[in-house]
Amino acid sequence: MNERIREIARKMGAEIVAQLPDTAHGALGAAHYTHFYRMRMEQLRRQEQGLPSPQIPQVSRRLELSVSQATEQALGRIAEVLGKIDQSTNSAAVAAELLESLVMEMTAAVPSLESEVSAEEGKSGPATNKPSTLGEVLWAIMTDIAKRRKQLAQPHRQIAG
Amino acid sequence: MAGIVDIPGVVKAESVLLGLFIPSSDRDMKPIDQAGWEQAALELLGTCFGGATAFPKGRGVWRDDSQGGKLIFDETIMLHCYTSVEAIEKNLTELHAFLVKKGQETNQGAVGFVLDGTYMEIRFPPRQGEAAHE
Repeated sequence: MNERIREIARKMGAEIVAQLPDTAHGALGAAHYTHFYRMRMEQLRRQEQGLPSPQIPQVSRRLELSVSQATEQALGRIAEVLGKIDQSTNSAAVAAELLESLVMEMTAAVPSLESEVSAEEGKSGPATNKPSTLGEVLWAIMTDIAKRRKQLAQPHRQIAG
Repeated sequence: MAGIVDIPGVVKAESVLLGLFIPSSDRDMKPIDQAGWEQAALELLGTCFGGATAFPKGRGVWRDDSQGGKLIFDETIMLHCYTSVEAIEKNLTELHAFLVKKGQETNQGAVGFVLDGTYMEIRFPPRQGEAAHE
């Protein structure tokens, strides 16, 4: 997401709820967006009434991701617990929500991550946009992933002989 | 190859879509003055951003199982306005004030809008955004 859009939301006191797909323009695009809006309003009304809120139908792009069996089981366990509040929750919905939250949290840190990735080993540049609290943990995970990828990308030494 | 036709008021740089949703009812499902909101929104978008299009009401329905399967009808209007981030930043105070005013006047739980594919909401009572102080 464009950082300026995020800044506009902040200045307006608006909550960013979803990233909508690039639908057709004109009346067809309006129909897609209006469908999403209706579902969202229904969700809000139910929340206000203290009722279980339904999942908003998929309007965003569907991703196929590979996860380990352990991760799948952990997601299932989380979904089981959350299912006590919202029966429509399932592993995939939990995974999507976690991923979206993490990505939203980390978007502001992308410029810093870029400088971290491009810096020479052991000489990381100043990171100005690092998030705090939960973000710090996520930051550590992300930079760790970046470091591991850098190590994997290093050419193997060849012993002449 | 066919040449590019100039259309008055259309500039290629203005390619960010601002979409406003105008509901037909309040948070208690009572009808609101939707036509008044639509007219005011068109005037605002025309004044601040040079133009906008209101799409005809999309009549919709959803089943409220918490009310014994009662069918809830809804006729949301959507407005499209092609503009630029710069223009939105310039007119942020007016846009924010308009959305808050309409949301409060018509007893909404939230007022939703789309900016460049990002759906966002001002919830009520609204949080204080910087635009409110500018």
